[in-house]
Amino acid sequence: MPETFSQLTVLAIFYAVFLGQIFLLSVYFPGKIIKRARYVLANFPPEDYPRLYPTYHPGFMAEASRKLGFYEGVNAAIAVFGLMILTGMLVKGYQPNMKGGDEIFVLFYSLLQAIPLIYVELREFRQFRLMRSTYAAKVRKADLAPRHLFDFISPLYVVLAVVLYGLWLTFFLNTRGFDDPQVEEVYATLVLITGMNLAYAGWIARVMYGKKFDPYKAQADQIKQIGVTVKTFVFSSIGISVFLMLMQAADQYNFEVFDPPLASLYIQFCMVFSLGIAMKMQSLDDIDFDVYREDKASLPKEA
Amino acid sequence: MEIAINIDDPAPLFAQLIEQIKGAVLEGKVGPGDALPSIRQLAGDLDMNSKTVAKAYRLLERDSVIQTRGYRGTFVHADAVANSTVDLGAWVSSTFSETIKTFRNAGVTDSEIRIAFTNVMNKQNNEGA
Repeated sequence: MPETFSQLTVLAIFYAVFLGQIFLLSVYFPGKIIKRARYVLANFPPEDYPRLYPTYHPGFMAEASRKLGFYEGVNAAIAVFGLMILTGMLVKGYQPNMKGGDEIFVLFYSLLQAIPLIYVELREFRQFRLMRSTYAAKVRKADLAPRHLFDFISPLYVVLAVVLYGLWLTFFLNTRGFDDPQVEEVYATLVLITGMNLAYAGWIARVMYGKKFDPYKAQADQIKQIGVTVKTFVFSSIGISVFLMLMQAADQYNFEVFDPPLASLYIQFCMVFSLGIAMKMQSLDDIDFDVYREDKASLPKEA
Repeated sequence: MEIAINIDDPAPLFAQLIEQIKGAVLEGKVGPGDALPSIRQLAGDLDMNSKTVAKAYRLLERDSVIQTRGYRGTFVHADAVANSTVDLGAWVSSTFSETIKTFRNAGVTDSEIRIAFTNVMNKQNNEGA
C-alpha cells in the first residue's frame, strides 16, 4: 500500500462505503418498494382496478400485506447481518488485504442483498405474463411516430458508453493481453463484458420495439418505461467500464487495497442508476391507473 | 398522433389500420415526408401480429399513401393526401357489383360465376408465378 494512505484511512473509507451499501440496498430501496406497493394496494384496490391483480382471490389483500411484511423482514435481517459483519471486523481488528481479493466478500454480501430484489423482479415478470394471458382490451392504441434511441437519451451518453468500452478493452488488453499466464481469465472477461454490453443493446431494442410487458400500460407510461430502461442500461455500461478500468488500474499501480470499496461503490452506482432512476421517473402520481379498470380500460379516452 | 384499433370491430385489423393512417393523413395529423413507426414497433404497441401490420403497410404503399426508403424507414408519401381519398377496395366492389349484375341478367348462375372467377384467378396467379 502506498505510504500516502494509512491503514486507518483505508479502513475508514471501506466502513463508510460498506455502510452506504447496507443502507442503500437493504434499507432505502426496499423501503421505497414497500411504500410504493402499499400505496398502490391502498389507492388502487382490486375491486376497482381488477386488471392490475391477475392473481386476485379472496384473502388477497391480507396475503399481500403478509408478503410485504416478510419482504421487509428479510431485508432488515440482511441489513442486521451486514452490520454484524462490520461490527465483527471492528472488534477483531480487521486488516485490509494489501493484495486485494477481499472484494469477493463484498460481492457475496451484495448477492445476498440482491436476492429479495431479484424475487420482486421475478414476481413482476410473472404478473406481466398473467396479465398478458388475460389481456382483453378491445381498443388498442399506438403512437404514429417512430421511436429512436436518441429520443430517450442524449447521444453524448451513448457515445460515452461506446468510447469507455473501447478504452477499457484497450486498457485491459494492454495490461493483461493474450500472453497473460491466466489467459482463460482474459478470454472469459472479454466474452463476459462484451456479451453483457450486447445483451444490454438487445434488451433496449426489445423494450423499444417489442410487445409491452404490461399489455394495459398507457402509451405515455410505456414511453417513460422505455426511457428508464435505456438510461439504466447505458449508465450501467458506462459504470461497468469505469469500474473495470479502476480495478485494473488498482491492480497495476498497487492500489488493490481499495478493491472492496470500489466494488461496493460500483454496486451502489448500479442500484442508483437503475432502481433509483426508475422510481424517480415513474412517480406513482403520474401513472395512468385507469387502464387497469375493468370497463374503462378498453374505452377510448375522451378528448 | 395516436391511432386506435378495435378488435371487436367486424372490419379486419389491417383494414382498420389502413383507415386510421389514411384518416391521419387527411386530417393533417401526419404530413408528406413524416416518418412512420416501423412494422415491428406498431405491431408491438398494438399487440398485433407483425404480418398484419406488414400487410397494411404493403397496401398503403401500393396506394402511394406511404413509401418505404430502405433502411431509413417508412414515410408518408408526397401525394398521400390525394391518394388517401382513393379507395381501391370500394372501386373493386362497385366494379364487381356491376359485372355480376350483367352476368345474372344474361342468366349465368352464381355457381358458374364463382367457378369462372376462381379459374381466372388461378390462371393469372400461375402466369404471374
